[in-house]
Amino acid sequence: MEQRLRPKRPFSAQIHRLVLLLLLVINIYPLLWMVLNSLKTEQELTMNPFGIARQPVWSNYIEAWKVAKLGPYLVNSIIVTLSAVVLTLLVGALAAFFLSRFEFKSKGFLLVYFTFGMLIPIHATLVPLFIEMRSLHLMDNRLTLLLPYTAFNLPITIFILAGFMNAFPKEVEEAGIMDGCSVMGIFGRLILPMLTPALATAFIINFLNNWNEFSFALVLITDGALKTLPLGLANFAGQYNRSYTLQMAGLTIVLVPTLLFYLSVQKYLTAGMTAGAVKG
Amino acid sequence: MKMKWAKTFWVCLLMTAMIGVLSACGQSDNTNTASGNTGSTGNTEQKQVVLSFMTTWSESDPFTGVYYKNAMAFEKANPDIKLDIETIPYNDYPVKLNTTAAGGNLPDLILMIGGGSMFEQIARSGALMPIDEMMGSWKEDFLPSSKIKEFNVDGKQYGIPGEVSYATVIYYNKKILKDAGYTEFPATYEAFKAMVKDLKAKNITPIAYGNKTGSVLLASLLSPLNERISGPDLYAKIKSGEQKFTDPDFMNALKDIKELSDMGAFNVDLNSVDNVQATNLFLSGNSAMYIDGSWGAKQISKDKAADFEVGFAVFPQIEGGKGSMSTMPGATNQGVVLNAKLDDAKKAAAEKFLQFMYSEESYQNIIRDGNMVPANVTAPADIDPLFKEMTGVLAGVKEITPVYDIVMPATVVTATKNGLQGLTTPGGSTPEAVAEELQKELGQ
Repeated sequence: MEQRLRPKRPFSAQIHRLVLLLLLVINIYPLLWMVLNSLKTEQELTMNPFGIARQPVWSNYIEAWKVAKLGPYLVNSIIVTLSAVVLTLLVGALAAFFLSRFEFKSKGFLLVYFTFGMLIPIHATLVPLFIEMRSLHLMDNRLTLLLPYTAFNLPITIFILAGFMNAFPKEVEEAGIMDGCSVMGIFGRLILPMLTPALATAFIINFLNNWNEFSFALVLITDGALKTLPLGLANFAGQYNRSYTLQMAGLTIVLVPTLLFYLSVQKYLTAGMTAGAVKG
Repeated sequence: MKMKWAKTFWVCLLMTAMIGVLSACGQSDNTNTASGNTGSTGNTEQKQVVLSFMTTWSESDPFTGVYYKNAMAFEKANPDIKLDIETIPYNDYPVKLNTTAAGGNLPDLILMIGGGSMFEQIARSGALMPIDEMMGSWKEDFLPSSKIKEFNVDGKQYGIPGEVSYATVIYYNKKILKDAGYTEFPATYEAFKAMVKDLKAKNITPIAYGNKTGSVLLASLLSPLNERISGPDLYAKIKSGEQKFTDPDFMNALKDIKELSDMGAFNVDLNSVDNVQATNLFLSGNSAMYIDGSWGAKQISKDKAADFEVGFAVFPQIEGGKGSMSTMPGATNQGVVLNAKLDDAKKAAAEKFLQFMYSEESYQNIIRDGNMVPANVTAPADIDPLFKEMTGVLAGVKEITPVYDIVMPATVVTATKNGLQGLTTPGGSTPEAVAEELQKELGQ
């Protein structure tokens, strides 16, 4: 991941720094642009799309909050996203544990089976899933989105976790068994803690996927009290009009939780890397 | 420490299992209440009829707000009927509509944004209720059948449109044209082209287009050119195979577009800005004309500076063409249709709803909000003067011809949008290549 700069080679460190700085600018600029423009009037945005607002229009944020119904949708999004992520990670970690650390006949097949899940385009499943959810009377409640979100994120989660686990030395489990650990004990006490960086990666991927997911939320949820953020953000575009400044204000608001979650998980991404289990 | 960890883990697992179990209970609860609402048992004692209604109408949308307000007025006037409104953003409405229709789970009332192919499919599937027996409420001289035919499938009427949208209105900056020496808008296409050339020579961007989605050039340039060159039935002929995209009629329209583009008639970024941005370009005095449908007037009226003078013009006549200026491509929109499965109580409520939504008073509200309507209604006195001027200019239009994207199959429409964007990009495709591509896409 992040390369440690060695004081021995100051010149190449400078080059690294320059390249990273460039990447930072490329990545941050669109976000900055969005925030800057969220404070302009529509007219000023067209006239002067790159500059700083002459007079910040803070009311854009209030208006955006109302138009996109961000209040209730934000709560819904947080509930759905977090519960789906937790469920996915839990199920995914267990599945990956067995697929990676055990030898059995259909192991290869199962791995491929899960991996194939990544190839299914979501839109192809919309109508069948809609019919299925309706027949199961699962439309329009808190769990409606939890199930497809978990199902569609399991393949990538298992793929990441199993891949990461494959690298663990066998000796870890052997040591565990010697000390009298049960199978679940090995999973809970040895594998899971070592898995933290991979879990953090999977957490972020899952979180972003669920947070931004639109099609399922659109089709499976009818009740206005259960809708999620992306549906609210779509309110900015009407049939013949689109209010960019409000949209950018709305997006800025929605960006904040994403950033917070990323920052809170980000340290685990690197922290776990160096903490080897078998030392010496 | 180790014990604690294991404990946490098992608690987590147990909780997940419990969520699963609880959810099963919660879900059956939900279905009970849901079936109570929709079914005829139990709640029949309660007088209020609840109609679920899926729509794009939203209070905050400047274009559909008036419909939302009309619907609210209906609820107020009929306390025994409640509308359970679900608002879907316009761009995503087709996905939701298609899926719920395919899943056989349409709500009681469904908004059809337009007539045309998508609506026909659902109507032919038998999911919608014909309203022919209710049509007695609307007299022919109030609501001419020629103006509501887009909501008629195989001789059955399914809905009534709330508004008519003309696909092409030329909005022009009176001051710029006057300064350039044009006090009157050219009535022929040749004169129009000469004016464009002249403006360009004077270093003024002649026409602002916001064709980012591809639909504006299609509706507001290709459609009127087709109509002026070939008369109203070109699309029907192409679809039936009587004519081809590669025949001179359609080809000439493409060539005209290419010619305009090569002339520098459009803003250079026409394919990367949308109509709001193009409107702002026009309103800031950076282009002499702005072309869009009649719906564009609302944004212009809302955003223009007080001293900005807007002129309106109908797309000019083409010499030797079969079309005329009294015809204009257009579409009828905002019709509410009924689910075929409505029971008698709901059907009666839905009939009341339609009668209210498409009454003289509602139409007047729609006009007041800056829309053209299919019904013959005396315009209220307090309407926006700008809009009044436009209705005056468009009063000469007696006949609506169908717009391209409602007649043609979706794949051809997409290919045409892309083709037009290619045509208007410097170094892009040629008219011949576009026409051949379209003919291939149509598969005839």
